[in-house]
Amino acid sequence: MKQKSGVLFWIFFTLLVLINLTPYLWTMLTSFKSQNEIFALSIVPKQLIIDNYVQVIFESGFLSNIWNSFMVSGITSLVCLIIGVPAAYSFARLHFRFKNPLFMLVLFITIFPGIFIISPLFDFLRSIGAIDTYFALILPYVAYFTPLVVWILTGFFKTIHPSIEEVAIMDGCGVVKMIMRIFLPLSIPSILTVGIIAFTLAWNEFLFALIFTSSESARTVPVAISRFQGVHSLDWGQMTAAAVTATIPIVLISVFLQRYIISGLTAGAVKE
Amino acid sequence: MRNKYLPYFLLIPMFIMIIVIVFIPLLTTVFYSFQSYQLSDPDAQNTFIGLDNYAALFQSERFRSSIITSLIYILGSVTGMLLFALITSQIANQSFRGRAFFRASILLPWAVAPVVAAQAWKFMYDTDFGVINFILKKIGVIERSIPWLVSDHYAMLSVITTNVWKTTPLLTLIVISGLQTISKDLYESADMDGSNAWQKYFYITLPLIKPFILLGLIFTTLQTINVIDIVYIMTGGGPGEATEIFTLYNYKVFFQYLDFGLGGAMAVIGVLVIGVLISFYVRGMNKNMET
Repeated sequence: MKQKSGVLFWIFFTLLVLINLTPYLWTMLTSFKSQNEIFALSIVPKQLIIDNYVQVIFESGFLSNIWNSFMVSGITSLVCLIIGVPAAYSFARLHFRFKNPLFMLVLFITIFPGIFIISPLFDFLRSIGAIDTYFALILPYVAYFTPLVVWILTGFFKTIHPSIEEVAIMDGCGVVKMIMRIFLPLSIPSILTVGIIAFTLAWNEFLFALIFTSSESARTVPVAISRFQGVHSLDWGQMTAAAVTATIPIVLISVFLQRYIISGLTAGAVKE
Repeated sequence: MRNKYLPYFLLIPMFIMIIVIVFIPLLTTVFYSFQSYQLSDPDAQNTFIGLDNYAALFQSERFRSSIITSLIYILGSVTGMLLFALITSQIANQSFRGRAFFRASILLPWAVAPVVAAQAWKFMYDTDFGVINFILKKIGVIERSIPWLVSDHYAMLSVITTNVWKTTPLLTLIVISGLQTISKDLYESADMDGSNAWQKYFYITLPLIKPFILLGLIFTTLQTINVIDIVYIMTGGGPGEATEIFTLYNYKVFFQYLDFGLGGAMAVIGVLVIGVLISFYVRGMNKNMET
């Protein structure tokens, strides 16, 4: 298991890395090509240009989509944490009836297809005039991503040994004070990690964003990118430039915080 | 005393959100499914028509074909993902130089938005300007360009590839978390018995990560059917209805044909199918825990 770093191992290693990276690297390379070089299919372009980025950022209004995504995802992840941290604490530390069924319910909400509830939600948002606002997106995002936050955080919280908290309580520290002074500071890394995960999910979400926005005033990045073929017909240069611009922050974060995010995404499953 | 209600108190905000955004709309959808409710025709609203929507669905060829298409899409995706996830997790769980890099490369498809993944692959699959045809022609595998996304034969394969690329990391991560729970002692005693690597894998590793694989498969199956982004962007369900999965058809009934009644009936059937799937899963898990 440990010692066999043989040829087969490195073949698979190389193959898998290539498969994982190539589509994104190709997108990046394309975004620096001129229209002619894209259609000539030169693998290595003679010159790299930034015209596509200049057009996307300064001329196409894509910046406002990024701003919308940033606001919606930021508020979503914040609210998810405010609602999710207490709930996860409850699941991880406290004893109460129906704990397991409720936890199962939380798990299944995270994978419940949004399309099946979208029409009444649409009616509701339309009736209160919320279509095409940040609120229309934040509301379903919080409902959908909080359960995931809770599921992952509960796994995290269980890895923190409760003995420290018990000692603090015995020393006469109140529960609230103990949570504020001891439990929360210990959990900051995990809370940040799930915050980033919630942010990423909101940033990438498409279905709700497609249906609950109708103009540039609240349209988020994924919807804007999906419209590139319609609005700017076959302009692969601009489309790829937009895709790279929109993904670079998320990709950088997850590559550099890889250790934390993987431990976050695996913590939820471990506690079974 | 004071703490008796505290656990529920901490859970209330989340469950209010779930009830308002998921449960009430779900019940409303059931309600819609018994109505003739065309968004394009406001006069026809709120007419109770019994099971007519359901009857219409079961007579519809397109509905049946969307179910079969979904099954092919799910089966193809899950097979591919399982294969890649088992190999990838095995590599990612060993300690070697370059492990951090390897793990980061797994996360890239996870972090990229499905929409972006779909556009990137759509471009690579392009008949005339796509890099896939270009390379296949260069190395002499094909002579003429393959119309990947516009041909009945290849469109399904193309969207499955994209979905496997995008969704495998989720399964890989869940399998990795399973691998991490296995104690090293088990392998050491197997070594002493003289077992080879394959025996260890099939008699120790696989049985122990089975619950994680099950959980991962439930997640990725639902993700596959849930995320219409890839099919929506790459083929729009076409050519014809060759890649029109259930959820994409449901989306079209709601927001292109504006039929909230018929769409509601589709959604109810979808929920029932998922309910059955999940109850099988829960039963499987319980059996796993007993043994």
